[in-house]
Amino acid sequence: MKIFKTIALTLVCIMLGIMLSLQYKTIGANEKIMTEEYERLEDVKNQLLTEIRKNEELREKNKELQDQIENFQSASSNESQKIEMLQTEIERLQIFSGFTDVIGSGVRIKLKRGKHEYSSIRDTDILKLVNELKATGAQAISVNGQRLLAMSEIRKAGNYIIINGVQTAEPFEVLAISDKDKLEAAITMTGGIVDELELYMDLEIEKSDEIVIKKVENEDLIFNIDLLKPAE
Amino acid sequence: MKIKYYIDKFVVFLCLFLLGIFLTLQYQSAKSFADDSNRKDSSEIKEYIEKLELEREENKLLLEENEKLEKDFENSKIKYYKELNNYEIEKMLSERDILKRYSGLTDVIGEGVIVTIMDAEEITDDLELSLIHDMDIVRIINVLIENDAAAISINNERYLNASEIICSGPTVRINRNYYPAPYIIAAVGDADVIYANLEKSNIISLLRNYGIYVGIEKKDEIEISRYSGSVDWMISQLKEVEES
Repeated sequence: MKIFKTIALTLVCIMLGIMLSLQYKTIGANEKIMTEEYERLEDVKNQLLTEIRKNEELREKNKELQDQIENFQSASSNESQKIEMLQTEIERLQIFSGFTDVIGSGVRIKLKRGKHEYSSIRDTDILKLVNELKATGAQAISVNGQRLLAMSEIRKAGNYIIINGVQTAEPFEVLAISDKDKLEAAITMTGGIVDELELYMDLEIEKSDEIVIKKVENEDLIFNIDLLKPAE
Repeated sequence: MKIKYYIDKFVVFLCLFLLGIFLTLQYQSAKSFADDSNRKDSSEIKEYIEKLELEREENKLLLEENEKLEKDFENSKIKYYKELNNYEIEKMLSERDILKRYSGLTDVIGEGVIVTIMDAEEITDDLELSLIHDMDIVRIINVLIENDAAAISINNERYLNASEIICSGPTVRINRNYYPAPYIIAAVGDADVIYANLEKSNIISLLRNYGIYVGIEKKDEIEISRYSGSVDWMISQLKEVEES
């Protein structure tokens, strides 16, 4: 009789164990499927937001264009005003394409090799820092006096880093113009880019209301105007 | 003896009790998952996809309208300024044209390369390594630029002076817009040079090593669209330095 009881008890306990692990597993599996679906949903939501924003911007821009066309064609603006409009447009384009010195609020970041001799600063470190700055809204960036444009390369060559076809070396000074507090907060957040770089280099960050970024100098090295054939 | 008997009974009771609880729990969680969250989520996704398609259609129409307006405006401006027959103004017009071409505000066409990258199909030991990250795209673009690419776009988003390429969950943000994988990077430039050096580059072999698909294609003609949005967000905080 006693053996019978023991067997029964063992059996129940085994079943209990199996049920327990099964339960654990289904919950795990369900959670996985749920997160996958959740991610897909987030994905679609993000795309939707992107499209909505794009459309809003386009609508605004189209309205703006209509106003501009009307304004331009109306008799209310005379010749000198129209020439002034062209002048303003060119000035804006010069600022946008990096052909003027610009000034604004921003940060100055100094990068120096850390204590370890082997830890020289890599091109990818600078690329990453610059990309983070852009993500926070930096509108103009320069590295060691070289204004960074869309077609500026940052490439390591021996002990130098080549930017806009010009050799520069450590220490690096990165300037960025945007809201200085936002910029500083974004790069110095815990686990952010500064934490990451500080593992093997010295960083100094300074906020300023008057960051001056020089215009591009060697535009022939950056732009390839022969290849930029307008499509019509 | 009597006490041991009761203890035995109690243990059996406890085991059976727990067994019962787990049984119902298991049943319930399986059931609730099957008929509740699952269906709700997929219908929600459907709803969003429908909305997304509507927005995309509208986007097409708006882009067409934008194109037409810009062309009209451009034509009437050029016509007006040319009729002034003034050498200085002619010079300003050509400067304007060059600046627009430099800064990504003109559609350009030419030979070049198209790079397609897709997350790894089979996830290896490390999920993180099987996915495309922002820096992978940044590094590919840097290689394109090193090899004298003249114009670049990512998923049709023109790469500009202030363009960011930054991970945001499962998407990558470019010009403040979010794009999921796959990423199609188009570059106008010397196709042979770019192709050869891209195939040799560290970043491409690194990505392929992790199972990420990287396709590189030479093309005789690629058209890269201009940036069609407003550039205000890229210059609003830049003041021109007064020359002294």
